[in-house]
Amino acid sequence: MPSAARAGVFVVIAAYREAPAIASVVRELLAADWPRVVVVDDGSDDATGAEAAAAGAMVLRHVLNRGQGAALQTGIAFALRRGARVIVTFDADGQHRPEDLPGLVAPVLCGEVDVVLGSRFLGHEGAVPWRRRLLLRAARQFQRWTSGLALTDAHNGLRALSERMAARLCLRMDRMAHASELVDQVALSGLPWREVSVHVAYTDYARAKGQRGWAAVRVLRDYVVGRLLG
Amino acid sequence: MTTFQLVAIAVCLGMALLTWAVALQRQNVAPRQVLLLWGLLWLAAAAALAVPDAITYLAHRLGIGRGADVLLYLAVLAGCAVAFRLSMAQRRLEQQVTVLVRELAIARSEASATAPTAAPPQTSPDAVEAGP
Ligand SMILES: Nc1nc2c(ncn2[C@@H]2O[C@H](COP(=O)(O)OP(=O)(O)OP(=O)(O)O)[C@@H](O)[C@H]2O)c(=O)[nH]1
Ligand SMILES: [Mg+2]
Repeated sequence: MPSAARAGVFVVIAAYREAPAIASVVRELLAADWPRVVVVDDGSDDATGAEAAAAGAMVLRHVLNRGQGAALQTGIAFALRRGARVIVTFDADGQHRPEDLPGLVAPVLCGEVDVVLGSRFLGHEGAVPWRRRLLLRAARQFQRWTSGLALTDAHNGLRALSERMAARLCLRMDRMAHASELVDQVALSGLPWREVSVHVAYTDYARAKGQRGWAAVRVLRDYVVGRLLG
Repeated sequence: MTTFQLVAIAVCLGMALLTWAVALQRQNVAPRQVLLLWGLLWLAAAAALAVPDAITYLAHRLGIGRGADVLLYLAVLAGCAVAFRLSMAQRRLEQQVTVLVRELAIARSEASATAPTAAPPQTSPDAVEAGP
């Protein structure tokens, strides 16, 4: 991929209390020749923002914690203002691999589709702990029902959006339910989409820090309330 | 009529008038229909105080039995309505906070991007936008 094209690709990372992980995530992305890395430090009370800036990311800071959905929307708005052609969303906890980015970005860059969604379940699904897999199966089914899109994964934070889709995106579910809201908005936009296989690492750090299974109840509640009340 | 009844009726009527007066204002704290409804409720309370048997009669017509129970059920309903309105207001407030936090984040990053390199006014070191 030519570097002129890469300059239009903004990798947006919503980070909350990720000081131990964020620097290496940013550095790996920069080393893999993705020069535009935007970290939205979502009111962390640790050194997340400073670590990200030192590692070479552009850092935006929410003065209050507003949730991953809110932070992604901030990063996307910022990237669009800076002339982004493609926006990639990427997790801050080291679960995603920069190696997956070319496959994610290329279909958007060449105009084939407007949305590429990463999927843990196209290929090596052995990596996902079984409980998480069950939960994601249920979420996937629910998502098919609410959005009409037959995806193989749900709530995967790794995706690429065209400028056009990103500009239409308006995430109002500030916390974790935004991942379903995003799929709904993709379906509503009618823009072409595709899934590609990506690897999501369930490291000890990510598993210790990540959501517990019962957090799904809150996500579901946020989603239903958001859909009903707007 | 007891003194308590007189005072309570006066208070209820006063509240009804006050709510309606507020409803007539152009700038409102709540939708006009809701205020008018609250005024009606205060009026109904005044009526119930003046004619306590009316509640008992109402209870019998509704098949509830005791007048006090009617009041209890109405109070629960009113409580639910208030809780719902408050949570709606809270939702809106949260969404507004998010918009403000977002605008602030973007404005600060833009300010630090355009500021001269010589000692830009930074409130916190990690709010810097270090563009490549
Ligand atoms: N901006 C922001 N980001 C958050 C918040 N909570 C979590 N995140 C980020 O969201 C990403 C995913 O969060 P996780 O807690 O790992 O979510 P998860 O449910 O474990 O998801 P998987 O690991 O994909 O199964 C990480 O990069 C976190 O830093 C928050 O309150 N605000
Ligand atoms: Mg995670």
